[in-house]
Amino acid sequence: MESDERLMARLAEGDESALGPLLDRWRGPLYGFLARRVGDSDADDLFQETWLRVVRYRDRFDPQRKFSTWLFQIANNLCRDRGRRLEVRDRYRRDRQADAAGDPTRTRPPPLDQTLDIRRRVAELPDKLREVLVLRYFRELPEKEIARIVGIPPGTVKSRLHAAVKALRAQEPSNGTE
Amino acid sequence: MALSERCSAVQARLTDALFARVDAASSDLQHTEHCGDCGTFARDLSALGTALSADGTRDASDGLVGVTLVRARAELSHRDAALAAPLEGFGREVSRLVGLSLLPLPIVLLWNAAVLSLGDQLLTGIVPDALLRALTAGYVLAGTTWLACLYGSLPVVAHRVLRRRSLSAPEVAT
Repeated sequence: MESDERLMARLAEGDESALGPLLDRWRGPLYGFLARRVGDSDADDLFQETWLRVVRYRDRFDPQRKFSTWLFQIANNLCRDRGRRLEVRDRYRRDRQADAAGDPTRTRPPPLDQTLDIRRRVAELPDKLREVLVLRYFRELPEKEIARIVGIPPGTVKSRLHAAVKALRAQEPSNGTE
Repeated sequence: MALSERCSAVQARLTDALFARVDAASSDLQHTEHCGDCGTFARDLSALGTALSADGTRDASDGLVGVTLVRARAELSHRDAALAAPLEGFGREVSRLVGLSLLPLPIVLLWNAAVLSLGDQLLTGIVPDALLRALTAGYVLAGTTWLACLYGSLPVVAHRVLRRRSLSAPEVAT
């Protein structure tokens, strides 16, 4: 089977037929990553945009690097851009959550092991924690590769993973700390 | 209450084991049996692992893949065509940039003339005439070089602007 890097080299030379196999090979992993990072509703748009950027910037791909690292870097950057756009909206939502937390009539959420709605809890994680959690647990990438994708030291990947577990254990989603 | 150093280490190893998808060390498991905090942590972690694992794989729909392929191919052919095509409106873009850059030129020239005149008044009689002439010539040369670089770069800027415009993503009905 032709390697991803070889297919990318062909794509960079303008060989359109290399695109199909690449897309087919990475559709599941990429979509799964995006759906967990940004939710199903936005995953479709970012899925398309990621591949458009792969095509648009194909000349910039370094064949010495792994294609998957580059692909997930693009996807992760798109998720971050989207996150920044939604920052104002999220801040407003957090303020409302904080107000609700101060409301004595609000019922405490049930314990983790009873009604664990994992998608919601992962979605509510701070972006910094969610990106490493999704790449590590669902993509099963080693910490070194995650560090390259996210652009942080491997030690920070580990500390963010631990912080993600703490946040998921907590009954209220915590703010990401390192 | 703050965790002891040992409990922190055990919990960190349990977390690492979760992500590495391996069994925790037996010594850590023994510790969780006798330590309340770590026991709760291990149970929560186990529930978390089960829940995460139950969140099955997700895949892009065939429709989404098809649309993506069409858009990506359109992008590919559009880019190749745009790179091969001659740039239209190059002269017009250069004229526009020259026009824009000419607007502040009188102020720049007046300012520099004022600097030269003031420098001449201040330095006459203090520095030798030959040195003053050399300083003036150096100043004029530097200013002329700067203006030459500025106006000389305008065709390059125009080319980049037009190329970027022509490479912008094509609209494909999805």
